[in-house]
Amino acid sequence: MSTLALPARAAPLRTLASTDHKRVAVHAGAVAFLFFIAGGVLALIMRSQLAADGGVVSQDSYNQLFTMHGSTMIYLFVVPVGLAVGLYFVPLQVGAAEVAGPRVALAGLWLLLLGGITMWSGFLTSGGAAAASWWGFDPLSDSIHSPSSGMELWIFGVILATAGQMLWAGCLLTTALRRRAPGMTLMRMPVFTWSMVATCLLVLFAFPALILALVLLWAQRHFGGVLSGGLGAVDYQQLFWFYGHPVVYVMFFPFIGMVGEIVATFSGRRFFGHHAFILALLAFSGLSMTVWAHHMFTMGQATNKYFALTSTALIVPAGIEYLDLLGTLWRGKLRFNVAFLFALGFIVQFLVGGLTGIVLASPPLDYGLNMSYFVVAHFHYTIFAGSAFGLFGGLYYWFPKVTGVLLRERLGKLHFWLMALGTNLAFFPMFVLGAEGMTRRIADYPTSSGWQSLNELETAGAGLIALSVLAFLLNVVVSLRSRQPAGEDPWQGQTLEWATSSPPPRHNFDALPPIRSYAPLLDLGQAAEDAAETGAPA
Amino acid sequence: MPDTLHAYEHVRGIYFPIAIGVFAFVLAALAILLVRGARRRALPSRTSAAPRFEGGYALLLACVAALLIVVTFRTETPLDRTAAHPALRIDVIAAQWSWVFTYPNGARIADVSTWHPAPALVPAGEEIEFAGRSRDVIHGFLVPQLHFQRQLLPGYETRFDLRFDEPGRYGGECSVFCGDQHSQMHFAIEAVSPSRFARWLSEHAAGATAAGGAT
Amino acid sequence: MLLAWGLWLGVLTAVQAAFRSVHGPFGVHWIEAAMLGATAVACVLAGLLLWMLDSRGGSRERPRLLAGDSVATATLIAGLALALLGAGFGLWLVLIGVGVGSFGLGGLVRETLARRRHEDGQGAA
Repeated sequence: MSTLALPARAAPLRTLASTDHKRVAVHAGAVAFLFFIAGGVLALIMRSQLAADGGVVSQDSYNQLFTMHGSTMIYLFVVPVGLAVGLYFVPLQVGAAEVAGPRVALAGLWLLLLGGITMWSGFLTSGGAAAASWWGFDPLSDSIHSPSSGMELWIFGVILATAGQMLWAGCLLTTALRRRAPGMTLMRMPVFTWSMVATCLLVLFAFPALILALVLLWAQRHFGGVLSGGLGAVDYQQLFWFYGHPVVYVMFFPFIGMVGEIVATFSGRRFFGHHAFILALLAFSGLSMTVWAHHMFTMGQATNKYFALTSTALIVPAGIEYLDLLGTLWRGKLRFNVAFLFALGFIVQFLVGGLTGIVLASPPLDYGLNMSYFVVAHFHYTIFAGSAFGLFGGLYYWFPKVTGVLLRERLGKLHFWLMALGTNLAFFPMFVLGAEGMTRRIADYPTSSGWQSLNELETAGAGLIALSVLAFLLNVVVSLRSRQPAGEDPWQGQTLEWATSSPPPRHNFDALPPIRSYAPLLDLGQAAEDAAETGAPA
Repeated sequence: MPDTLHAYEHVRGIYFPIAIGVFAFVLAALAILLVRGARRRALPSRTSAAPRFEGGYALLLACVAALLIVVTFRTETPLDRTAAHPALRIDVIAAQWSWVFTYPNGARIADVSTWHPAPALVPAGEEIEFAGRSRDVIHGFLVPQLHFQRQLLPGYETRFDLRFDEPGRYGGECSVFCGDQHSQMHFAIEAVSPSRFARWLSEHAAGATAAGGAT
Repeated sequence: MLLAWGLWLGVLTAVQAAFRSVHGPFGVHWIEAAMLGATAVACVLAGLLLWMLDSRGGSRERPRLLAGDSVATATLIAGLALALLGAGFGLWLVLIGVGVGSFGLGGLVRETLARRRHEDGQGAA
């Protein structure tokens, strides 16, 4: 490799300002995970409020809680954590020595951190944190209806974090398109890298709409006349959802990419339908840029039928991706490691979220179900029961590469089963409640509704999820303390990140194996098998 | 005829069985694959694609999507339409955190931030047009029993037609989060026979306001 | 190499153009069409730009220097963030932010110069 390294500086500075994409990624992942825990605590408070039929917190506090829960999970956890995993593994998977624009990647980390702190500092102000939901819809978020400085801090926090995510997406896309090792053609990039390419396209082309919407909102708050009058509120929503729907897929693609890698590795076979999967991903991301107004069906201010058409058409690429995942299991030799269990959890549970999404894409059904707990259940099945399971699968899968040590399998299985049980207890009853007419974002409901027992069940499920996350943290601590060395390649991986030490050196690779397909290490293994069969020296 | 209740039930009757069927099929396929994969002794398969099969499958998916879209479009068209001559037109004003229903003769029903709203009466089985506005932020006019909602915007009149076939009380609530007392922003509609409605309306003519009781 | 990329953009644009002609009963708002159109154009432009860069011959194989860390970048971002917050909280914060940011910018310039010197040194050696 034609690379040189400058002498490193003192440790504390190096930790905070390292430009090694692997360090930036680990820091970003850690920051995002802290926000995940913080957002989870908010959810637990909300759940206790609903189980107790009101009375735990005031209405205003409850409004702050769900606003900050949603904002934290989306702006500060799921989106950045997906990009952070990409920041670590995309350069490795394409055989690059470095991410494109390492300083830019570092800048993204700082923007995320400062954005998150800004948003959360709203809790310290006298008016409390923002309380206008993660959408920040105008006019509820304007200076008359949300005069608190928490709202102001929310706007700046979201702008900062979002800008950081765009910087990362730029780095990753450039790395995948222009920093690939010799022999690594576009069609030989692994599914995870391709899923990140699709993600980055969405981030780069959709996220500017959010920044524009928030700048306009800020101007409306301070000078007025920008979003007011006529259909200003509708315009804000158009801009917001132009970001707000693609971001849903930004919270999905990286994780289905992780699941694809895991399924291929633990089936011991080549990913089935690699090319079809990539085509589906690209079709998916293209379509997902043009489904946004299905969030606005009940406004009567968007072209409902057109957006119903595009939203329903998502069946095709999503179905192909599922076929390819299942096809990879076909005639594979399966190993049921924790990473694989989480991948299976993703496949089953995301399907629930996906199918109910098709239901909501039909306006006659959406007229009844929109804004209800049915929608809440739907997107928690996609983002939590789907993406978060994919993420934990990815963490168990790649933890040995990042740290050099294996996570404990038995604790991992406990984590998985607790989380699977908790997730379904917490979110499945929401479908029932939503269909019965329980709307979202209410701090209380009438006792006559008979919704309390299901709400108690959900809260118990949320508690189990919290326990499962504790089991995971315990696993990390135990595994790092009494170390079980992982070696270069503990799982018989197929992609380039397994062809270097764990953790990889600063310049990633000392030498690269020949790249003749999207699974270069599997090629080597199969060549060895063939040689053994024919009796020739390997 | 904007029969939202039956429209919802019709589409649900097609979408839900398909969704449940697909889920069951995938689950069964997954179970078979997992059992076979766990028992496998031979080396894993080396096939990497089956383009024809994948192409055919994509076509099948497109057909399913097309079927769903046809069902949706057919059902939606009458829902989005408003009648040229509705039997009755009611003005609805939503505000933080109240509902006011005004009838053509000036009769008014107001429900202010309450769990127990006073009902606004409508004649059962007739086409009624609602003309809704918000006085401040966006609110949502939701009648769960009819499976229908429409958002009310500030400075813009939203019109929609509804039919209440079954006589009785229909609960309603604000579906779009609108600030501090969003949870308590309820209203109610009671469908009664046309003759009873006519009597009620004349009794409540302009001036006589029935206010919803606070809890 | 960028053939796939260019093709993808073409498909995306075509998909959008085809869908634009579908009119629902609720009517197409100008902003819907404008946002889609602008994105499609931006997509195509980005694709063309990359294509041009690529056809001009890759500088991909030149040796790269891996900087170990960059405190300046962090400082610059902190300064910019403070300046942005100042937009809500007063001019004083903007000024502090700009001050911190300019430190960062200076640091970045210094880092670039140092890297140049280092590379020249390596080249000569």
